[in-house]
Amino acid sequence: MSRKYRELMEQVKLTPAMRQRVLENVRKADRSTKPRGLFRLHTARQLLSVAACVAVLAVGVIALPNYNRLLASAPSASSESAPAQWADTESFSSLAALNSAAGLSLPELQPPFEAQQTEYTLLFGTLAQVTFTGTAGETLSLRAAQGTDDVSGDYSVYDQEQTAAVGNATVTLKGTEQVVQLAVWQQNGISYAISAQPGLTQEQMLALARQCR
Amino acid sequence: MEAILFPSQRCPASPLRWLARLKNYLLARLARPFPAAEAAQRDALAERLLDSYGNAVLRLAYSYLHNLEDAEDVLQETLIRCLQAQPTFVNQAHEKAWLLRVAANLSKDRIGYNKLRGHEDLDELEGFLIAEQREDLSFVWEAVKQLPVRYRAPIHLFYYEGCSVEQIADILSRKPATVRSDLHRGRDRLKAILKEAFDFEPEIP
Repeated sequence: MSRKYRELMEQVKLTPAMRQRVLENVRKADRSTKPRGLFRLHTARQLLSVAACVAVLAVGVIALPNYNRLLASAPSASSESAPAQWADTESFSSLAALNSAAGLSLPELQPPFEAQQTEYTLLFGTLAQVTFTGTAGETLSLRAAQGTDDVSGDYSVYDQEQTAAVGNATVTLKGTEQVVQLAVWQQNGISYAISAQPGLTQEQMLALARQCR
Repeated sequence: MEAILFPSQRCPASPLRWLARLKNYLLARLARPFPAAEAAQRDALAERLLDSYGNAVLRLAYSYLHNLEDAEDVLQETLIRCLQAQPTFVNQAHEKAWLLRVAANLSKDRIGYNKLRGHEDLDELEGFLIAEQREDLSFVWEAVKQLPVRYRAPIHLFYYEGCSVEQIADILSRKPATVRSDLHRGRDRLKAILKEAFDFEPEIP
């Protein structure tokens, strides 16, 4: 019975056409769904009170430690920062200005595509981010901050993960079998992360990492 | 560097540690991953789930629904639910069990919907067996198709996926004793139809 039933069920299988159809429909449904996260709590009536408490706590915890710093860094005429998306995000018009604000010396990376747009951002006053967007929608982002914590903000589990040496640093490369999408490493007291979509070759990613030494 | 992204980072003032963790968590949620990375990662996740568990989910759905179009719909909806819920899995077995549980529930819903619709779909497997003149398998499939809905998933998970009674209980949210009883009753029904023509290994514990 077991063998016959197994043989029967082996006839039911995912065909390439079905696979493509399912993935396409899942993509469409996923794109049309609002992102889930903490802020969906308000949709659950029974959790409203919990959400309110968390919000009050969050505002207090975020705002209080930064209160003095925010007072001290009132906008000045010479500031290059654009209107922030939210309190802890600051945009700059040049890499030099970003480096100066972050206390870093990031190099001007040369992405392996023609960059249509380049953004220089400082997050939380400490995390520098440079994002290149190509004409075909490809993106390359460099993040760096003082310290040794992972600054990628990327919690995904990738199919492939390996390490490579660049100078005296060990670079962790993550991605698929074909491309590398994330590189994370620490060097000289600075934590770096480079993310690329749709991805780069290992050589391209390591070449970018070498530029950050 | 000031703690920013990860909840595991420590605050030196221990009474305030939990507050610092909450702050880090909130900031981590606000500091989204790199631009455009999220959508690509979700696509990659859908592909991985489909390639790893697509056949298992499809077959479980087919064991309920006896129709490939409906089974494909269940598979698709199962993946969408997983992307929406983004549950945390401790291992691959946990991941597969979660998907099978969702697929089983969706399949039962679909059976109810089809009944309301009064719709009788094509059984592609039956058609295939007839075309291939596999009378031996047709005989088994006809017997399996006659199983009440309640016994279909336990029989499938036991004889095809090789799940233990406890694993089936977990997937179907039933008590192990209930699963054991369902397996015995389902097998007895099959035996009554198939007679002694087939063995029923492995034994149900």
